[in-house]
Amino acid sequence: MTVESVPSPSAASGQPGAPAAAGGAIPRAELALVGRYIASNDTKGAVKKAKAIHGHFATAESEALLVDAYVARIRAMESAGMATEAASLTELVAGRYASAASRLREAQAAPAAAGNIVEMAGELARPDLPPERRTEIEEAIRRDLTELPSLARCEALPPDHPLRQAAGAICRAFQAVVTGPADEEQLALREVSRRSPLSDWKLLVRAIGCFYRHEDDACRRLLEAMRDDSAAARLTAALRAMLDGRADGRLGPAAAALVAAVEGADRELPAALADLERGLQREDLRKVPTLIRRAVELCRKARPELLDRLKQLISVRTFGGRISVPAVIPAMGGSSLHDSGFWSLLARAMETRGDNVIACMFWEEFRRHGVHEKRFAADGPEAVAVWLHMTDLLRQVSPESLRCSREDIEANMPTLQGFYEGQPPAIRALAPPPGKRPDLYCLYPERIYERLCRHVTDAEIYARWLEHARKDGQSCPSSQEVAERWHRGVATDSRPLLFLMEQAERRKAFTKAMKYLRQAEDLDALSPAVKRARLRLWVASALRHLQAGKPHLAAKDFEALHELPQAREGDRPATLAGLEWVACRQAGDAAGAAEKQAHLAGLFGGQDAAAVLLTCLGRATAGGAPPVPESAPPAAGEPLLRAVGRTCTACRDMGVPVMMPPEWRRPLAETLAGATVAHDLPELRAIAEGALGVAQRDIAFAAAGAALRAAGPHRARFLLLRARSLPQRDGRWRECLDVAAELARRQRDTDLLAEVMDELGTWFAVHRRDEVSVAEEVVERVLAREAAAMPADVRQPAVNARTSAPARRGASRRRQAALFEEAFGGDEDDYDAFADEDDEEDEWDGEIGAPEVDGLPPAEIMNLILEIVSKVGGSMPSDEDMERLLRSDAGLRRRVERVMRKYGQGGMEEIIAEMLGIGGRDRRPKRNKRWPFW
Amino acid sequence: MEARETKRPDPWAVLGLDVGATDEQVRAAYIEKVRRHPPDRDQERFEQVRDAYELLRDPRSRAKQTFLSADPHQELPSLLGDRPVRRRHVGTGLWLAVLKR
Repeated sequence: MTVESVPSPSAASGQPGAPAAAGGAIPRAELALVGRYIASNDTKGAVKKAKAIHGHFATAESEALLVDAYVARIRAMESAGMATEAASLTELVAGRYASAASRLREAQAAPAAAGNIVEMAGELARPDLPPERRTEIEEAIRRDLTELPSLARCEALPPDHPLRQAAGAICRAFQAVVTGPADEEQLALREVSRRSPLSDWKLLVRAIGCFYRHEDDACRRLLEAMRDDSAAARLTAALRAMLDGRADGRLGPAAAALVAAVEGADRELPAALADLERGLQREDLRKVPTLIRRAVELCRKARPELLDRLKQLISVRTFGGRISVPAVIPAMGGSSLHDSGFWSLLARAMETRGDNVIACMFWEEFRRHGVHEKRFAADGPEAVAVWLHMTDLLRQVSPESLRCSREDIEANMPTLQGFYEGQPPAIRALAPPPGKRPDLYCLYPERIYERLCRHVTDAEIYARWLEHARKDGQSCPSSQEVAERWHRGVATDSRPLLFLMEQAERRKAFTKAMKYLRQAEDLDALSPAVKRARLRLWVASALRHLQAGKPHLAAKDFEALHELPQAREGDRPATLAGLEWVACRQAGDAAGAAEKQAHLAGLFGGQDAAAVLLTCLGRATAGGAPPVPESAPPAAGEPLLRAVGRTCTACRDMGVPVMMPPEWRRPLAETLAGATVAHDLPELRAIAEGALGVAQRDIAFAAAGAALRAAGPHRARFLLLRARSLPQRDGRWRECLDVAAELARRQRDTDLLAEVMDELGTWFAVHRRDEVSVAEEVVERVLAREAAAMPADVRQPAVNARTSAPARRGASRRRQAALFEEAFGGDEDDYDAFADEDDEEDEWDGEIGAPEVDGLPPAEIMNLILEIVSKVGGSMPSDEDMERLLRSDAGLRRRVERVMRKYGQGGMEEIIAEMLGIGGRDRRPKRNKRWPFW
Repeated sequence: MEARETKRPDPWAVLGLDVGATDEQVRAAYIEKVRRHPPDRDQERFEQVRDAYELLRDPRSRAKQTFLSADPHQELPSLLGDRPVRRRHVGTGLWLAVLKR
């Protein structure tokens, strides 16, 4: 065990000055303390401290330390003229400590030796001095002389004697190098020749110079070049201890004092921080306060500029954890500084725990403090970035969860006043008035957007606000109002006008819709979106008239459409002809209908395709019995698939819903599932999107699968479509979206990435998806799995669970079923259905389509719930049970936190509440139990 | 899903900048990095550099990267950085005390 590795006794016991257990090496700090006493001539204090150390350790090392202290005391007495007392003490020490005799003799001889050497040096001035005597004297100087000033002042030598010159130069250089940075010139020591008995001193002085310049290799080389028996070499042990960070042998008290003074806390701080890091990770309640105390103390000494940051990190790491505030704050010597840096750390910590709502509150505090500290302007890009980030966080929480969280916070959360206690005046200036709750605008996306739009005029911010208003039906202001504000704020943007146009059209306010359209056209008539809008408006009008059974009114719409140049592009004439066919059939004009059908067949690639288009248009426009084309559409196979693909593309282009007859679903799904060659990708996309538009998920599922079987950049888009065809509580939904996001990022398709993020934000919260990547092997695995997955209608019939279930799964399945029976209640039929699905689980993996068990969340949430239920004896846990479990079981708590991060706190609470019959809207978990204040 | 997420490179580190660098510094760093890692010779690195620049060139996006760089889970020893242990000048007294026997 080295001196370095032994912690300070005061740190280990938590009490300053208390020595550690008997035996073992003396901590370097204690050695250094004795050395400091000696160096400051407090020899009484040195003896007292050394006695205490020896009394506790009782080792040879501690005895040697005590003897050193006595030697210093004896010398001090002699210097003070107390020769008698010194002699008595010498006798006492020699008699009491066997090891003292030689040390005392050495100590007594040292001053005499020093004096003798200087006297002998005087002989060197004699020109007739025999060489042997000269050598002897020089050797004595080299080995034993440490009082160089005495040699420099030796009057027996002439002032210009080389030895006197050298000694004086070394004294000056030594003084310079240990009191401050010394340059090369100061350490040149040209007066000291290589053969001089003081040459080792020259090496020592230069080594110290290298040491302070952090030229450690050069320093070591110089120390190695020194002769071990030279007087100067008495300092090499201390220098090496500082270079290596540890001592190879015993460091005396003087050397320990030197090391402690030169490096001190700097050397010990990294180990103390590493110990604290380990303690925090393990949540070691017993040791962490002591470790905090030590780390803070060492940081204060060694790196005071980092102290605030260290305390902030400690505060944030222990916030809301098992280590309580009353333990941490005193250990730190007071609260950490709650400036903007603190609030940003705390906000990020909440984000990583998946608590986006609370994170927003803390980001608001960061913003306020950042402005107050003049870190950024109140309306600068930084403040805007903070607000936008808050909206990003809230977008990841479902509207319902957000409302529940807000209600909870408003009802239960104490003020943030506690965070301001013990803070300096500059920070307390921002404290909320006592008893007043903080302004919770930061939890309302619409209020944040309102502030943003007051500060900056940015069309993209308005666009996000409008998107939020559209998704959250209860948002105030409404989407209509937001669009109007957008139009007023950015008059040159046609997008709000197009939105207002759509809204008016939905309300059947056609005149108003046209008014908005004309305004948009005034702004940007060439915009494809505007041109498409006019087309869609007339098509929508025609559809409405046909759906209302008023073909004569639809005729006027057709006239207007025929005048539009854009209506002549692509398959639009065919779709138009199809709608006119519907109108003819409604009007009883058989000849006209036949003419339209024939015209359509010519435009649309044959009778089959035409029949498919007309069938879909008929179903889209007719409320009762839809008109049927004269020629039947193909029954199945590639012809049907191709025709449907083209129909979907044409209909979606014109904004016409695709209404496929139910009898086509299975043949289409089978054809798509069996396809080995990639079909036309735009058509597959149109089929998938069209099917999703009318909730025909299995067709969308199959179409996405067909596209995924071919490699290419399109796979990102089709993974998104695959995800949309899955139920949101299916684990594969998240995986598909994660991989889709990764592929979109790689392709730099920001629009697609935004769509994926929107999809992710609709249900479970996501944890900072924008800054994580998905590993390549996972991407490949998901793509391969989804390409191979079959839609439910096409997979093989399930094997009877009762006759084929492996016995080894039976017990765990029965137990699972029993627990769920207790949780759900339910009759035997429910139990049987559950067992059947479980027994098919192996067949599903990677082969059969999305397993869909209505009402059950993903498997890992299920397992977690089962674990919780089993830990409370198989019954439903109460709120108190949950709290007790989470407090006492760190492993469970970590698993719960992980699942909550993955699936969203709001979602998790709702799921547990729903599954176990606890909590729920009336009994939401109380947040104030997790609010320790700093 | 099993642990399969890897954090994307820190844009500041990719461009070799301190957090909170200015517009000019970001642009200069980007140009210098592109010179060192042109797309025809080091495609992967070039894309990292370009992605980092995209994040940092816009003041708003750069501000977001700045305040998102706060890491509450930063390992405590990393606070010290690479700075070597400080060595204080303490005067002659303690040094000379070691020389005494």
